[in-house]
Amino acid sequence: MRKVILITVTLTGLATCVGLTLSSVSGCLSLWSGALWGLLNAWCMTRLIQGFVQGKRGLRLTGWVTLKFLGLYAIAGWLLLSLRVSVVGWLIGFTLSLIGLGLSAFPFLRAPFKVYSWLCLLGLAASSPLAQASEGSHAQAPHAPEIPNFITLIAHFSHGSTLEFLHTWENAIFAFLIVGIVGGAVALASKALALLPSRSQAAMEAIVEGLDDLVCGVLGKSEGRRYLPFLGTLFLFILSMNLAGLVPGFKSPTSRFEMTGALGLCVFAYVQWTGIRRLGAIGYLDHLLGQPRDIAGWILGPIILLPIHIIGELVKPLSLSLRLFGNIMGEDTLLAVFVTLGALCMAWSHLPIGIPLHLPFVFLAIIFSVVQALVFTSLSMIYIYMMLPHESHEEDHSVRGEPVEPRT
Amino acid sequence: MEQHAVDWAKVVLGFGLPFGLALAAMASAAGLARAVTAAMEAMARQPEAATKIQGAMILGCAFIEALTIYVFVTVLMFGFGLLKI
Repeated sequence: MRKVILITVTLTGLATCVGLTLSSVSGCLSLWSGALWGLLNAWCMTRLIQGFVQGKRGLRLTGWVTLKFLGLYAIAGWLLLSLRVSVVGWLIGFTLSLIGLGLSAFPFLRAPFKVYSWLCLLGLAASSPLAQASEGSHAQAPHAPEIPNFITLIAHFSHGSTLEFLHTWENAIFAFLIVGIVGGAVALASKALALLPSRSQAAMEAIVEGLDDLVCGVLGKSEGRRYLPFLGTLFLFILSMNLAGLVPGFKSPTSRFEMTGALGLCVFAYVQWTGIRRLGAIGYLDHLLGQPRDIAGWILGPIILLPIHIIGELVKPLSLSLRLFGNIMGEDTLLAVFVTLGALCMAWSHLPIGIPLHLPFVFLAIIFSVVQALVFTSLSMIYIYMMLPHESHEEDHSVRGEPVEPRT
Repeated sequence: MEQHAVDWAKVVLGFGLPFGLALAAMASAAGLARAVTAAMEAMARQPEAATKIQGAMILGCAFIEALTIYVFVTVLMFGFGLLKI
């Protein structure tokens, strides 16, 4: 069932991208509602059939039948008739869920679900220039100069509207391209794992070991291994996206706030989810209230510490994304300005050459790309570490400002 | 908006924005200098911990730098949003 959900969600995400450039936001909401309704339908159907096959008759089965036939169709009727959800979009969404159901029967998705879930999440995050694409990107506000990449070249040489579509989604296209290249390289290297490693396997092992040291150094051995997939993928993804801006013809997707904002939101959602899952819902609220243990804690906790903690949690993804965005956009703009200068400084000779004045800044950009990827990952690690249960909590959050004495 | 008011806004912002950015750069330079000084002294005291200290220094420097980047992004937003329209 999970496979069905994953495939359907990915397909719907992709369809939303197309739909947003061609129609409105409400059309895409209908797409999502159709897909989710289809998934619910499939789930109820499987439970129903399981009940029949196992020979259960009686009240529970009748309950399921009622739930499926009356409840689901009532929801569908409410959505389509009273909320006026677009029928076409809903039907397309429902078809996508059926396609997901059909595709899940194929055995080609052999990789473990974790890999696919992170890829889907990051892919959906990469398809995030939603607001910009749908609110009329035709009226472009003047923005900082940037080095052209192959999509702007295509858009420049063909003024047709079918290829303008590519230019609107150039961030997402580069992000998916980078995911494909990096994922493909890793998949190729890990195809035939042997005890005597080949060169690519040795390289991958070195990278994974380095990331393992980094993550387990902060989170500890067992916890670090649990969060290593997410944090390692985050580091490699951000690093490859940052460095892609230095490859001629490519552009860093992280040089736009949409991409880094999406990454920040991913980390925020994951950290909060980790907190709720590890601490429990009550423990999570306890953590937000500053662990009130005495009367002063219970009175002042909700008044002082709760707003501070909530604002702190909300500011974290904002600072992460702004830091990464500012650095990478600054590098790209710096490079673009110096490339322009270098091209212009030989303009008096009317020769089609220029001096590569931007060379020292390429080295600066390489260093800062790596550093910013490291900083993003380290901060995410620290946020996860702060969310996990640890003993030194009372010292940080006691309201009176003194460390709490351990009770003997 | 009245053209007069927009001209005045451009004059004031045209002076204020780069000045604010320079102020942020100065403050960040002071903070970075303190961080790097502390890191150098720690490395001199205990050379075998030099890699760990260097790693922590790079991390700390990136945080301090980020504050200047926030100011830079705001200045860019003002500049390309307000002053070039």
